[in-house]
Amino acid sequence: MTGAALCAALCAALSRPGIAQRDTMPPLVGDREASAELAKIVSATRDAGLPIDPILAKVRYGVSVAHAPAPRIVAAARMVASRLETAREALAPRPTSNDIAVGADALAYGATREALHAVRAASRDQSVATPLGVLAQLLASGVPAKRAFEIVTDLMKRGASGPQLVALGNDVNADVASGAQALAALDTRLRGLTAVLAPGGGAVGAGVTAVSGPTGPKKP
Amino acid sequence: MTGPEFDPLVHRAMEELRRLPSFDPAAVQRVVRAAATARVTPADEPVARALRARRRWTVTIGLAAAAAIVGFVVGGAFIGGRPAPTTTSVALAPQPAPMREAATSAADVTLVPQQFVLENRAARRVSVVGDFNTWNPASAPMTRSSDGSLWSAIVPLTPGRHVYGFMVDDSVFVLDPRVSKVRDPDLGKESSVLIVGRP
Repeated sequence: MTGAALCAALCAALSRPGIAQRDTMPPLVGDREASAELAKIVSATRDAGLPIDPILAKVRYGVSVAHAPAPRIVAAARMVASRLETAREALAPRPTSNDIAVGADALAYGATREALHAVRAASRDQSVATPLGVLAQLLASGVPAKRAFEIVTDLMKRGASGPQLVALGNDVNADVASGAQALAALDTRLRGLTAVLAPGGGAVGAGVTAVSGPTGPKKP
Repeated sequence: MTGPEFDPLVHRAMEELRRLPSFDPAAVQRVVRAAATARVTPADEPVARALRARRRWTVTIGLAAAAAIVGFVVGGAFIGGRPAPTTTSVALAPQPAPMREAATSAADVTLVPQQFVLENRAARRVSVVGDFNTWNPASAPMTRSSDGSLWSAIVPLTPGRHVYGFMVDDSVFVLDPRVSKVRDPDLGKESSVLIVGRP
C-alpha cells in the first residue's frame, strides 16, 4: 500500500507540538524510503518558514483521492515545496502564508515568477490571494500564461474588485467546462467586466479587439 | 625593553602598592562586636518589613518568569527556534477543520463561508474534502436534509482558489456537479474548483 507509508511519514514529521494537533494522518505502513523522503521534505519546508499545509494536502490527495504510487506522490510533494519557495521569493517582501500557497498553485499551472511579482506590484499591498487564484484558474482553463497574466494585472490596475475577479475566473471556467474555447470565453466575459471598469490598460482592450476580429470594436 | 618587570625601581613601587594597609586591631574588634549584637529596633521595623516584602516579590517574579519560560517552551509555542505561526481555527463539529497555514496579516485571516451541497439519497455519510482541509474527510462532515436527498456543509475558506470534492461513505470520491472541474497539475486526477474572494 503506497499511501500508507506516506501518511506514516507525515505523522512523524508532524510530531512537533502545535502542528500535530492540526492534522492527523491515518496510521499507515509501507514504503519506508518514500516515507523518510516525505518527512524530510515536510521538515525542511517547515524549517524554512514556509507553509506545509499545501504539501500535506497534496500527499493526502495523492493517497486518498488520486491513489497515486508513492514515488509519484513524493515527487509531487517535492514540487510543491519548490513552488512554495519560489512563490515566497516572487511575492516578497511580506507575503502571507495564504498568498504563498495560492502563488505556488498559480506556478503549478504555468505562471512565472515574474508574473507573480507583477501581480504583487499591482496589488497595492493588498492580499494577492484572489488575483493569484484567478490567474491560476485562467491558466488551468487553458488561457495562455502571458495573456492570463496581462488580463489579471490590467484588471487590478483598473480597480476591479475581488468579487469581479472571482466572477471572471469562475465564469470562464464554467464556459470552458461547457465546451467553449478558453480565449473566447475569457474575452467574452471580459466585455461584461470592462464595461463597468474605468478605461485603462491595453491588455484587456487588446484582447477584445483580437477576438472580435476586423468587424469588432476598434482598439482605442 | 623597559617594561616594569625588568625595572627594579618600578617593580618595588608596585609591590608597595599591592601591600594592604595595616589595621588597628582594636577597631576591628569593635566592628565585629557591634555586628554580632545588632538587633532591629522598633524604629527600624518599617524598613525591615519593606526589605522582606521586596525579597518576597523578587522571589515571586522570578518563579513566575521561570514558569512562563517553561510553559512557552513545553507548550509548543516555540518550534525549531522560530516562533510558531498563529493559526486560525474554525470550529466545525465534530472536529476542527485545519485551514491553510497561519496568516501573517489581518487581510489573510479573512474567512469566507462557503456552502457545499451534494444531492445523494443513497449515501450514508458524506464529507467535503479539499485543499482547505488537507483532504481530510473527518474535517467537514455534511449533514443530510430533512427529506434525505441533500447533503450540505458550510466551510469557511480563505480567499483564493480551492479544489475539492465529496467523499461519500468514506471511500468514493465524487465531484461537485454544479461547478467546473480541473485536473491536478502534479497527479492528474480531476477535482472541482472554486475561487473565493473577499466579501
